[in-house]
Amino acid sequence: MYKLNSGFRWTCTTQVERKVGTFTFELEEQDSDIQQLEEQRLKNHDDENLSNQKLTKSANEKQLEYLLSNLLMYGVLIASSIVLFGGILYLIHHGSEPAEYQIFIGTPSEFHSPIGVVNAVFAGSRRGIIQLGLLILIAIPILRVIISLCTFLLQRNFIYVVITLLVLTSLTYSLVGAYY
Amino acid sequence: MSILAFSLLVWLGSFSAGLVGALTGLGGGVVIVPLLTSVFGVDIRYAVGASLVSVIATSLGSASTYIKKGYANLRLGMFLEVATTIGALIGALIATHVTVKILSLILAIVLIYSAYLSQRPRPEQTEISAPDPLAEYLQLNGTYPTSDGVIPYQVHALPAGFSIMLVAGVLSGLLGIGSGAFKVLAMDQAMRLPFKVSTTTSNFMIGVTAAASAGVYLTQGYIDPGLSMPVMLGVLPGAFLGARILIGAKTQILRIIFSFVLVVMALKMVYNSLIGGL
Repeated sequence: MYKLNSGFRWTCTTQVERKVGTFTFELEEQDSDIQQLEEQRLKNHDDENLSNQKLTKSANEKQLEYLLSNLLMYGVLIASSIVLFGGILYLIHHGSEPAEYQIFIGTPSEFHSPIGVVNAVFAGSRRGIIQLGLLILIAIPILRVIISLCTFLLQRNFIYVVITLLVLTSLTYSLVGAYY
Repeated sequence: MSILAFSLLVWLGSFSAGLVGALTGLGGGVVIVPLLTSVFGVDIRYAVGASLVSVIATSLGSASTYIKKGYANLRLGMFLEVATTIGALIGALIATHVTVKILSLILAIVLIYSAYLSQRPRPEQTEISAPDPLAEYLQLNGTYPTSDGVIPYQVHALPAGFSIMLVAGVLSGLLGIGSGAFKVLAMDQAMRLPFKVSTTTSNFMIGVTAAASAGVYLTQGYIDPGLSMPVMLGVLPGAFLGARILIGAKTQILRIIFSFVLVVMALKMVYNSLIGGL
């Protein structure tokens, strides 16, 4: 139900925004009295908008969606920048060496764990920088699940707290349990 | 071949794979592994690791846009992620114990099946029937925005969907692919969700699913930075460009060509693993 409302709110916002655009455009040639009037009208619109938002439970949900969306976008950008940076350094220094991926020997053991990778970066390893970027990338979905867990806790939605915990358990097991 | 030339070629290949994968809706991951193994001669274990990383990147990138638009069903995604992450963990653990030959054969079968699925028409289910009580209990039914306003939808056959997701997770962990084709199959056919919801929710889930097998791959030394770098940096912009072009593009012919490429790659992998030895 509340999703339906969230959609309404969304269309509402775009309408308001469009109006803001036209109003400010008109304002340029009008005197201040009218300006105040228009501003009043705009304010009313915003109030309506706000009450609409409060009517629904969706503000919470919307906030989560917004937060997750940004986390994913900036996370990917940061991770790929690090990979690109490390990659350029790696190609400058090792670009002329032969590429050997035909036979599997596995990556050096320092690239097998987050701590090892961080140590490698401090030791000046260029491949270590790339691997750090990749680790950040892998961490983003895990962070995403943790944020969802917090939100479900705040909403006291305990079925989903349990579901999210299950997902988090298998993720943690994958990263930690695989060592033993 | 020098690392520089190799990286540039892999980058180009990955960029094309990401582009075509996004245009056809099959995802780039399904081509990356056969591309790296049969064209570049990379060992399948390195290929699987690099592919998995690129799958996480594209999934996160596109999910970001979908969530903002309100298509993806976050609860349904989380619920089904229980199945896919457990599956992915099992798949990754199996992958470290089976021979390269078996892995190649499984991948070949999955490639052919994906090609078949992409050729099949996707009938949109519109009739309203009794909702799944379990879905009701889990608050899974939702709404999504369309050009005619917000439309509610219901989730059907939750147990069947959950089971297919478990299989999709195993394949994802085994082969380092997103197995989007199987996820969409579960959501379209079994759970009868609208296209937009199924495609976007599946995309949203792929990142978490892949992260579950990534840990196992990392400790086994499958994720090589030198190889993963050009793959990830290629697939990501390719997929974004593909998603941009997709709106309004006619993809039927492209689908047919892409399916053909998939089948050829699959046959080559079978040939290599049966005749070529290893």
